[in-house]
Amino acid sequence: MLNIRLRKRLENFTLELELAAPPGITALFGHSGAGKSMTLACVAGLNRPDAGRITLNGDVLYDSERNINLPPQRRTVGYVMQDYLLFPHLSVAQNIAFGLTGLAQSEKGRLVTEALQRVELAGFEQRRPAELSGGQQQRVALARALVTRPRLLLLDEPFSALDGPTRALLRRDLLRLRAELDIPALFVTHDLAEAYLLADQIAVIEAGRLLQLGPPETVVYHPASRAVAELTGGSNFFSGRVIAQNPTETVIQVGPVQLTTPPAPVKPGEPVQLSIRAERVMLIRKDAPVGPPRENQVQGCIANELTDGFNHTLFFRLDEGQRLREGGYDLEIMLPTYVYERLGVAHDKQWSATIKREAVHVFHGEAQNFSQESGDTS
Amino acid sequence: MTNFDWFPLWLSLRVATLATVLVLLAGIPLAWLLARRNFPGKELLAALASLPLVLPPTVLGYYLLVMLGNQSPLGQWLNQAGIPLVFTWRGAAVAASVAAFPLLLQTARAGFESIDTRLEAVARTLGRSNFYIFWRVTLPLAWPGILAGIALTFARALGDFGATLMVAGNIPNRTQTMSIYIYDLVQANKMGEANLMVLLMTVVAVTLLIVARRLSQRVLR
Repeated sequence: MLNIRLRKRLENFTLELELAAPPGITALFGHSGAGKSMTLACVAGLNRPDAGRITLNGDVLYDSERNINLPPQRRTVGYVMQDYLLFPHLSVAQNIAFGLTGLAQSEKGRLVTEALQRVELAGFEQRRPAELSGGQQQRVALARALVTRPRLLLLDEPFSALDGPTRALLRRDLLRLRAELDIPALFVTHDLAEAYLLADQIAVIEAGRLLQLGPPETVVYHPASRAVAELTGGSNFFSGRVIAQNPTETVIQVGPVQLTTPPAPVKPGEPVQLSIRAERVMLIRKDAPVGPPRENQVQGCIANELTDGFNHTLFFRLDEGQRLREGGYDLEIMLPTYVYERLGVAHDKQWSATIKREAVHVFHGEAQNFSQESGDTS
Repeated sequence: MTNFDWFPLWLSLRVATLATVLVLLAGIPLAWLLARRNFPGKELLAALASLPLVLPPTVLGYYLLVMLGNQSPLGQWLNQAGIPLVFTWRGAAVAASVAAFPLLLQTARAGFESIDTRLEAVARTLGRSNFYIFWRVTLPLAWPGILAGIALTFARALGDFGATLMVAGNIPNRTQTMSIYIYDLVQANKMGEANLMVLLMTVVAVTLLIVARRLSQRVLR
């Protein structure tokens, strides 16, 4: 178990985090420059926090009150960085053996061979780093970090310098590794899909603060704040007011529309923020049997759309009297391409849609931090 | 050519070799310091260390003569220690080393600065001592730059005239180096020998320059 509590003054903000990482992968997720890499550097002992305490399995690595700051050499961490940082003048075998001390030459050779087999690079011992592809270099860097049997693994954007297919392969490797990993690993990334795929828990970090810590599903589908929702790919942000609250649901007035959501910890009359996940808004099939209105049913037309080949993003403009906000459209809706084709959206822009209750996230507070919406409630 | 005097060439090589060693001993640590540490007065120190490049060699030699001579505490201490420098070949080496010092300092500093410091950071997380890392990572990676600096230093020390003359004088068979000997030959109108010496020095200098250029290109690659 890794426990971090640290404060460090940076150029634009103060990094102030408290975080516990059990064995398994903890993703530090956030924008570039949010303080994620600095956190790793402080844990590795390459940078010194201004204050705080870092312990690993109960051993103190850093404690400002007791004036303890172990050098990196004594922290037994494995550190893998974005651009691999293999020693260019040493062979692959020498790179991997770099951290092996106090062992006989034959024992070192055996460990190196084993480590290379584990990352599927057997026989590469005598190559130079410059002769390897980016993905191979990264695997050597991982092998070099793991061969010393570290008590903690630090991965700083390990895949971001790689091309798409190589990245996918290495993610798969890391998934396999995760199954055997019995130590905590901090994994810095600004890629939500990567964090979601690989992490046991995600720590959302913004401007030096921990916004939320939890399993990937929780962070993405139950964001604790509007900021987290924005960072985790939420779109469709609105301001509203709670008009009814009961054990089974919460009703929120947004413009002229009443939206029903799962019970949220808010009080009637309270101004709130909403986010609606674009992939959880459904267009209603026109050949569906006529029945009672679906939950949060709205009508409108598709004002604009775009596609990346896998998904279609529709900019849905609601009919007058249902508008959730001013501007060209009200809702962003995301459909997988096969659904888009089956519904025939290409030829028909007039639709009813249902906003699944679970798609609506409710946050406390007015829109004061978000200038584009300020002034409607205060 | 039977009475050809090889001593000046032999002496010049000795002086240049000793000067290069001296420059390495002082220059590598200072270059590392300038490349890797920040401290007050750093740029002033860097400027002072580069001063020999722009000072007239005679001025440089004069400073050294005053510092190392019998009147100075350092000179007296050196005399007592049995290693007088003024009017000795060792003094010539010291003078040449000071004159050549900036060449190594600058190339070695550039060599250290060209290294990604995160390589050293990773090495530290792998548990190795800073001393081991310096020898196993830092120095090898800076080595092409340092080697280029060595070639330049050696060439500069080999050809030094002014500073050497001021400190070591012009004593045949004791402190008369090639460049000083050539001057004497010309003064004595022995143009045949002078031509040969000049040609010899030119070949050595060109060779060293080519070597230095090759090595520094490897650094910049």
